[in-house]
Amino acid sequence: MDRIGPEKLDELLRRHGGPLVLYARQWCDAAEDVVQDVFLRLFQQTIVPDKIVGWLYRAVRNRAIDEARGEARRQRREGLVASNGEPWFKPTDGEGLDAPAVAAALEALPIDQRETIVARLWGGLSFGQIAELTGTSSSTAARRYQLGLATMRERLRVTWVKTKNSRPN
Amino acid sequence: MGENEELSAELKAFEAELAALVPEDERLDRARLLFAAGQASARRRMKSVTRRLCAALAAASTVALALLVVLLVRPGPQVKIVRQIVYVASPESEVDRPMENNGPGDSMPAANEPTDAPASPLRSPMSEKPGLLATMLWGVRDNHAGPIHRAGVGGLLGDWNLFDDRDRRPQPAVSRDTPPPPMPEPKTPKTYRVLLEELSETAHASG
Repeated sequence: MDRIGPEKLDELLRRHGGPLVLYARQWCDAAEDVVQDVFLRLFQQTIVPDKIVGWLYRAVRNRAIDEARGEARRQRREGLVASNGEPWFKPTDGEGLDAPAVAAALEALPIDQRETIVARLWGGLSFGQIAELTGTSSSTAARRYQLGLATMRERLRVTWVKTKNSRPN
Repeated sequence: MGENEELSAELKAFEAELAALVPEDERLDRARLLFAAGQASARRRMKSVTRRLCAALAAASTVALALLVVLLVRPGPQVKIVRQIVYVASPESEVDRPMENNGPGDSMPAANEPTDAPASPLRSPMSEKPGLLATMLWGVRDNHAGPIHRAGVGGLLGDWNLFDDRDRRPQPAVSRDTPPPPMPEPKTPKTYRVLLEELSETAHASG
């Protein structure tokens, strides 16, 4: 495939920008910078990879982990708190789950479950792609996903039936 | 395991609820990113142009260096003396004179001129039998492919330009100190037929 054009870059950014930022946020605070750097790298690639989405998630993951190491060093040196408090999700208009609560429940999960859930739920990756991304098997990725969902559900103390019944008509 | 085969109905519903949330990407500055991409593209183009310029400069330098080496290594100019014989026109037209004996093939004495030199096989019948002069002359000239031969290709009775052979005979060189004599007015070339008639008359007159 030839070099990526500005139109394709814009389309990828609109479609995968938000999930990639959320994915990068699982490791570091400067998630937007990480995603922008990765998109810029994609634009500068002489040969565009065949699986662009998988390449994007892998690049964001590696870059975010590197950034997290730098952040940890910086925070240790400067004595700062870990999180900058950026919202992970757009605020909901009163329907569905509470975004900050979901973000908190997600943040409480182990990193392997978190990244699996983000990549699967908001990134739209298959378990095979997640397994390739995280270096595990598909069944392991599916098991992490299931376990993470159950844990979050328990923490949020919501059930489908309870939510349905509690909603005003 | 399939994609969602083993998820319970409750987890599937919870999954749908979670998927309804939209990740925050407000701080992702698309305009800045596209601007940066444009800058990178321009830099890339400039880099490509610079690379081509450098390649062209390197190629030109290499060629210039090679030419310099050739210039330094090659030998200097050599003087070559070429000897060339230049025939100049004599004051006296040689057409009127009998042809000089320049070689065994060129011998053509006048019919009435006695010759002391040992006769060549081609020469003796010419002096003894003037009637055979044309045939012998043809045969002699045929052995030396030259202007006369070329002129006589048309046939034995065809036109024969006697002046064609003048440049083959050595001419006395004219000194640079003395002014060259005026060039004789060229005579009208005789034809082979006229030559035969003249020779026949000369032969009859002499005996």
